[in-house]
Amino acid sequence: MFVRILALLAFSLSAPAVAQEVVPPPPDVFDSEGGLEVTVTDESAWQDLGIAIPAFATNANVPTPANTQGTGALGAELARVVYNDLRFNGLFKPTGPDSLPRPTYNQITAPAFNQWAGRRAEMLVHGYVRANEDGKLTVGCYLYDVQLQNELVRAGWVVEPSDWRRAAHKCADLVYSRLSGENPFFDSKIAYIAETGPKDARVKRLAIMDSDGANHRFITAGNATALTPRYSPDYKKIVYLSYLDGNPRIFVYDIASGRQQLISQSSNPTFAPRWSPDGKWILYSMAVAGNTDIYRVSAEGGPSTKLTDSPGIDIGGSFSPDGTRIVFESDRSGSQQCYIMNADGSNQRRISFFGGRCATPEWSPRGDLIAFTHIVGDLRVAVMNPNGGGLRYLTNSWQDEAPTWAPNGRIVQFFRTARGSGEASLWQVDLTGRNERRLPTPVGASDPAWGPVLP
Amino acid sequence: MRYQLVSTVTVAAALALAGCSKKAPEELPPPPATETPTPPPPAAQGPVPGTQAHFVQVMNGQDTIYFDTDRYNIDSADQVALQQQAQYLAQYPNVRATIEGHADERGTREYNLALGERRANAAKNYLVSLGVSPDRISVVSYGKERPKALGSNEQAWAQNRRAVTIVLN
Amino acid sequence: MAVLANLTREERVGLGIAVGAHIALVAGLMLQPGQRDAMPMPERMTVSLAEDVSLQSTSPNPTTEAAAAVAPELAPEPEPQPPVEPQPRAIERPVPQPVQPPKPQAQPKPQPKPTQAPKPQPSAKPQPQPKPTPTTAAKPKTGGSRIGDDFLKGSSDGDRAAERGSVAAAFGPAEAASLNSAIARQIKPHWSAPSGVDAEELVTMVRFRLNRDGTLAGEPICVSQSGITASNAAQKGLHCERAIRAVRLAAPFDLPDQFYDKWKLITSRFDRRL
Repeated sequence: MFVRILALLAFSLSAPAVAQEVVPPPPDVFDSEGGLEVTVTDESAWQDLGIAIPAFATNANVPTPANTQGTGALGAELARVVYNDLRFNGLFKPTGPDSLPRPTYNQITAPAFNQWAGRRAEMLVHGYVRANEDGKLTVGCYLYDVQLQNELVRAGWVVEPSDWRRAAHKCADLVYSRLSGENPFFDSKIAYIAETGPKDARVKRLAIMDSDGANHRFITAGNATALTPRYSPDYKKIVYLSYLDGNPRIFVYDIASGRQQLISQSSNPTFAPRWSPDGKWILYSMAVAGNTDIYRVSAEGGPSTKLTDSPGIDIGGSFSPDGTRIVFESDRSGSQQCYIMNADGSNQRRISFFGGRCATPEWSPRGDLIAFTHIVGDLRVAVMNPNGGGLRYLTNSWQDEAPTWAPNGRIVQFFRTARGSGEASLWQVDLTGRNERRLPTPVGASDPAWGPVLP
Repeated sequence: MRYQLVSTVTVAAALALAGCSKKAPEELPPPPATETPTPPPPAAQGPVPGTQAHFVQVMNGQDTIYFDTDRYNIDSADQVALQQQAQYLAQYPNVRATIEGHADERGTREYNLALGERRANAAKNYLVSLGVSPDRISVVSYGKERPKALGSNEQAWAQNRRAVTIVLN
Repeated sequence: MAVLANLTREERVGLGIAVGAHIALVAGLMLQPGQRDAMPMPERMTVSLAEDVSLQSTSPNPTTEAAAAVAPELAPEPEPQPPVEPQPRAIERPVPQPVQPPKPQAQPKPQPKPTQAPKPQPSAKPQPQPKPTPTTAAKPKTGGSRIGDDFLKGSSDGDRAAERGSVAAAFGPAEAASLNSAIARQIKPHWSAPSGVDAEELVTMVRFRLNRDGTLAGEPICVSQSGITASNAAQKGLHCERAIRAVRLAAPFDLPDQFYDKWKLITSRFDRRL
């Protein structure tokens, strides 16, 4: 009797559990218009897309200024540049030319799909390079779907021999944007500050390089400390801060001529230069008797317009891609926080209310997010919506600061300072937080800024 | 017996007193260095008065004032140091000075440039309030670019949050 | 015991009664179970589970009796006859023998009966099957078989149809569930969503037509998309393209022929869940 009661209790308790074990079938609706409705869900971990990138073929192996061994070797080099671009991107798993067979020139437009099907490569990149009579190079780039055996996209470029790397970057851009849906960004340049020397006497020089680190060049000699450079949208100028005369001054440096001029004739210190997206305006911050405000001046020179006027430090400023709004940092509330205002300085309002301090805000070229440095003890790179919500961290280290965007708004670049030694290095991370990688530079590096995609 | 004891004690006491009786100094002690600024020591030694080297020597650490994190206010210790600086500047009225503003490494670069500027300006304003003419003092900010202490800990950062007065030769 | 000695008489009596009652209780509990009647065993029946209910009943009628079968008599050796070309379908498809509902009777032969019984019979069972019982033609009675013409004599064919359940004359939720799973299972290995911020929000609906043999008739098209945000707008074209690609790579589909009318037009929803 007692045991019977126990059994009843147990049964009644387990009945609902048993009932829940049965998974109901997905709701099916037989709709005469759409037919049977089925749901297919991708539940796997992120799969990197496999791409095979064999060496580019050439119609005739002739000498070229771009490569001492001729166009044949140049074809392999081109494929290597494409491979490295796509490899470090975090979305693909490419195989480079050094471990793949070389296709012939005719196979470029008619690939032997059977040969590639067994190599776990879902996509195939073929290319060719030809030396023209005038010395220039013609580079063609083709992307194929190995499983469906069709061509996805093709393009070609004519470049000077000295610009052969740009053709490879253009090919990588073509493949990348076709397979990710994003805008391209490989064919672009980065300006940054190269650092050498001990922690209390750092030598800081302005430097530029391609997005993959090639074609590196120092711009300043290092006698005067250079800081926070920004490429102009047409790549003709760099605006940066220099202690050339012992005080912080902002210069506009013309790359072609090597000449530079002051952005403001005022004797007050100026910091934090920025370009507008159309290259017509330059934002800068000036300190007058301890109070720093943001000003706007035409890129051609002329009088400045004061945009902020609070009794505190208002500094920085990043335009939205449509040029209508500016996000900046200000400590008028007592600590560094992020604010948005119209491009003429009106309607200033705070957007960061999530605790900690919000610094160095930068608007994405896509317009959907703002990257910034979140100071919560450590300095971490984070993104948020333009209304201040959706805070999401991209890094988690002791000191990561000054994020700037790749031209397509998908990669964020910043610099990381090591604790103790204070050594700085450039890093990149994908917008999803994956694939954080260091950008190799000849010496220490900080203050990275990315120029747009070259046309 | 008693007489012998007394005399022995007397002689011993006299000897003892003689040992410490030399109270008259053979030479005058030098005046203390931290008193009000005195006329400079003999010209053949030491830095020239009115120069940065002399200023540093005389100030003995009071040429630098310190701040809390993100703060730029002049606290009481800062006031004492700035008063001494003002006295030196009053003593050498032809001397000009620069105040360097600094910040610790634990902040973003551009904001720290502005903060260093703010700190240097606060020091200058206080000196001006003590009577120093404002055109004698210029201000420059180095942000976090020129740390003095090289560690990455609280003590090092506290030492780097500073405003340093430099006498221009 | 010295403690007990200190008790009053009333306390001693009470203690004794309490101990005695406890012992009696324990003894009663231990002796009880032997007196219960055994619970009757439930009768065996086939059960199918479906969440939705259709207008027409599609579940098989439960049967409680399973008739016994009489083993067939083996016929004498038949004359050798030229071998008949085997039906290709009989060889390809595995015969789903073990799927039948539990019956005490033995089934000594492959299924000649199902050719007479309506075809969708096996799909009335709860487990989904990629293919119904193959439309095997009656096994050739020639070519070395020692089973005579009357080999069906002893089998309880009359009841078997009833046991298997009356056939689902209509297409109901159970069949649709099976078809859904079959189609999704064939597409899923080829489907991987593009990566990106907010990529999990994107949903694409792809519509495509199939021929009777499972190949694509025409091109699949994306009929609608949802979940587009500012951050994943760049991926929406790619999402549609990859969904179509997954359908194309999954074709030709392997689906039950008798339901062709139901799966000749399919709208498939593609999404991503972490």
